[in-house]
Amino acid sequence: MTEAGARIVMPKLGLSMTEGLLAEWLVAPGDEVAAGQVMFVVETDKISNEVEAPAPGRILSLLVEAGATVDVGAPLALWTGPGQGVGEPLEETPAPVKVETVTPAAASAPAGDRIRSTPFARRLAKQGGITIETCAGTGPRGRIQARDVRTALEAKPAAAPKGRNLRALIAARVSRAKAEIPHFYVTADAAFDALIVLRTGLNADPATPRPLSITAFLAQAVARALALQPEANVVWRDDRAMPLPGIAIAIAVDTPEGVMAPVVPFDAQGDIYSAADALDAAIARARAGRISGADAGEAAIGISNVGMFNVRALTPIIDPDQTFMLGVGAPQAVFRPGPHGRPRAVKEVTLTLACDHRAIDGAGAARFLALIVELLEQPARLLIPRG
Amino acid sequence: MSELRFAHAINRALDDAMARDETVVLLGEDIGKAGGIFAATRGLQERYGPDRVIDMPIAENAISGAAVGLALGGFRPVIEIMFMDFMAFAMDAVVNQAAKLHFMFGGQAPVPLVVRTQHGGGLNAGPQHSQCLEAWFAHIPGLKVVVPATLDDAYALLQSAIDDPNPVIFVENKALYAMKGTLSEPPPPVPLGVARIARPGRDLTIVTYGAMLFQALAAAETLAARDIEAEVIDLRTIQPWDEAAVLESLSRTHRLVVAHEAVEAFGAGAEIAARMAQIGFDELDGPIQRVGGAFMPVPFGRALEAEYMPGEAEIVAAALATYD
Amino acid sequence: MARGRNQSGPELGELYRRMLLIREAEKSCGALFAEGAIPGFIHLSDGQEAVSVGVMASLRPDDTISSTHRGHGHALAKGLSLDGFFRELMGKADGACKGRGGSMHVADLSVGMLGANGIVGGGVAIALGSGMAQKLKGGDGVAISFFGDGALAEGILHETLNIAALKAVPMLFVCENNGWSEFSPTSTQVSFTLEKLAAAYSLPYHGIDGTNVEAVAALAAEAVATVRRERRPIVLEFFTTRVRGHYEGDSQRYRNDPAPPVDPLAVARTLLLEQGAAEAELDALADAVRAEVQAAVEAARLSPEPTLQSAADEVYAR
Repeated sequence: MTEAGARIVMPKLGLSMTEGLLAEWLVAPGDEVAAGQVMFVVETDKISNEVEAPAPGRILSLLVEAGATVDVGAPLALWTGPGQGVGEPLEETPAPVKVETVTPAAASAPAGDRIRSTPFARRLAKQGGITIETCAGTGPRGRIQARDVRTALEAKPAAAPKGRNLRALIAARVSRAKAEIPHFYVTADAAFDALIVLRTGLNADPATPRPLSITAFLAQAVARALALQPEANVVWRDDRAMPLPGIAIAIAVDTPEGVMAPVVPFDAQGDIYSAADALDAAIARARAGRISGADAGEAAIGISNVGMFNVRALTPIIDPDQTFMLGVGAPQAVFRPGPHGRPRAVKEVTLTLACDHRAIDGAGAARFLALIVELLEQPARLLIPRG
Repeated sequence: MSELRFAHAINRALDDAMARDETVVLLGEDIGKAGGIFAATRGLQERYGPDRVIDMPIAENAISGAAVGLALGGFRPVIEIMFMDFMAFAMDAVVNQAAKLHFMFGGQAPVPLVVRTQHGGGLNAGPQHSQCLEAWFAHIPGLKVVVPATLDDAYALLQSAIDDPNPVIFVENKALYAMKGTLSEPPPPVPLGVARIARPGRDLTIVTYGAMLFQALAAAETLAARDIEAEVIDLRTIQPWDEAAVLESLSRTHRLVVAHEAVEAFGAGAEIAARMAQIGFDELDGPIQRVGGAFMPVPFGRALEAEYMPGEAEIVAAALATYD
Repeated sequence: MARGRNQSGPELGELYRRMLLIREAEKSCGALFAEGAIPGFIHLSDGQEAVSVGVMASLRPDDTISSTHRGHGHALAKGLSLDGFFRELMGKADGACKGRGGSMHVADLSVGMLGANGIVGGGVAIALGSGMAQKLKGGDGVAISFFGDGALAEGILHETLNIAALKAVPMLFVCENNGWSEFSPTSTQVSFTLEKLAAAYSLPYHGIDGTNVEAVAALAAEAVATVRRERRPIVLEFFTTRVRGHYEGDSQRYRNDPAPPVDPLAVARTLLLEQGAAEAELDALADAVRAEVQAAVEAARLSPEPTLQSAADEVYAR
């Protein structure tokens, strides 16, 4: 006779999330869980999210093993707390969802024979994140004992892949973006000398609270432009351009596993130094692989700055949840006609704005990019808090 | 600390109890004038008089029934049933009366009596004088059952048994009466229902009680030579028994042997094994093993009884079998 | 009302009232059992009221008695309340034993009633111990073991007689001999008379007809006084009739009594009328007793059932 239990399901952590990878269980059957206690960790292509218990309860059984990818809303575990998702509490424990799992060691059970294992061994295997069947049993009649599980755990590669294949996730996202979003592009070259001088001066000043990066200026300019031109601060949802309640910008960050783009909220009245702090924190989290749900908010635009790589321009791909992606190239030294027609050496940065034509038209996109360029070419305005 | 024999520790405990509580009275066969056939009550009648140390004729049923009447009348009788085998005569008074009156009468009065008796083989006393029957009484709701192994525990637990408001079966071992040991001055108090880790270990838990404790400790030494460190738990009280202590040990070692001298089949060890299989299931890394007497009456005869008695060798074999 | 022969104890009228109470209570028990309000087994003591009432008339609350499975009369005569009695038999939470004992285990230790006993002879050695306690405490309290002739064959009776005599225990052995041991006449069960048995243990013995409450009370008064004074046991035997079966529901096909049983209530009533009591007076008394018993029965019906947890909590005393 089994206890009836309510479902804990894979949560929807982002509007476009359809499935998630259950990276790690932090509870086991029998555990009493308090409200707010972290039960498991879910990874999507964007974030790694710790999921907390909404109420107190006792875990009855785990239905999915760590490393499994399941659809949003699929049951993950049974517990005595309030049920989530659709359906009544289950009357019996269903068979665990069959999902693909990582198998670090070769299975040793004879084909067609029952796997014999001790209760303690099974518990050790579960805690260690391996399936009991993958352990070689050395007990009587092939029984898997604790020592066999320990042996298998030691053989597991140290930097065991968490099972997430970021490249595949990125591939899926960009393919979808190209398939679904009608891209058009506006391009402008922004004169960068003023910004370079301002930045150098600020960073050299002994009173400066912290150094400012080019990206900080770029982000501040984009945020100001969104505030000044609200028609650009939209995302395409449910067949309409939905205005966003606040200003946020996704920042593309290069990590060893691939590009990640945490979303950083901007205070419309805020100063550039606070923005720089928030940016740096988000970038650090992304590089450490530890971005969380807080980094997965809604944004109208992302910035991809490849200026540090000495390329002239980047024609980017928009993130499927956003409307724009701004590609920023490296400052180029060029000659431009001066006020009297004489050639003058200036530094210019090529900005390429990819736009979702469903949400914005050419004129609006052009106005927006021109605004960004204007702010970058008069960078002192970025230091003045908006009234 | 004094070097004494186990029987002297019992004597000391009775003496001290009678000195501090004038409602303690002793009844039994040959306990007064003769001081008990194992000398457990020696000198007590001289000290406390024939009104409090009462020699009774051979009538276990009446002695036990009278103890119930005395207990209801405000006294704390400690009766002696000379051999546990003779408890069979006392069953109505102990099981149908003493164990049930407090419950049956709606809690009107407790029945604070102690039945002292002795069990076990090793003295070639034969089938009708060697039985270990503690499981009979552990099975009766309303009774408590104590089986001490050391002198300190015998002293302390007898005090606790006498002070307990419930009927307590206090089981001594005939082969241990002559055992020499140290009695602390004073022995630390021991409540009923609390076990003791006699030897800590990390690989295996051996749960035992009574004389088998010493066999288990010897087995632990033998196992240690094979790099198996056994933890030996002396239950001290069988009913109620210290489930929590056994589970805690099992959660560290993941292997369990339960050993007693009583017949293995339907013995106290069966309850401990079943209960641990139930609440300690996830801790087990091997099957639970039991050690107990074979399913036969205790034989007479030196060679036969020696071969019958379970001991160190059987415990070692059982310990190794938990790895099977 | 005229005085009875027992000058120092309760008058005959009071003894009669107490017997009426037991009779009415037993009648109610029979009816309640038939209607299903009393579960289990009950053993009614109709016809034995004079022994209970007559013996208890000489006892104080600190004197103790142990009883048998047919102990309703003993319990009520010793002072168990009607309320506690009916609620216990119906298994209610506020019964004398919180509903856990029932008919065969009614007890009230506060009035020295050490319990009816479901084991034949089970109370005999308890009375022995109680008598030993009385002796140890000093004072002149006594213990009484009530048993039926059915216990004469139990070894415990013999063990206890022996020890009581050896140790000079201040107790009375009171045998209610109704001639029946369950379904067999006593003559087929026992090869001796209690008189001869008592003599074998060198104990004083008195045996009389147990249907005359005055006679019972007088003998008991004398015997109790002797035990109080001399602190050694006495054996009493009262010959009565068991009017109803061994248990309620026993059709008693095995009985073939030559004469109808003598009813101690009828004997007492006749005596009272001879002494000058009026019929109307006695009828009124019977009515009052009946009403008292009925009131207790109706109140008991309304009492709550006990919970299993409350029972489980008292397996052991704390």
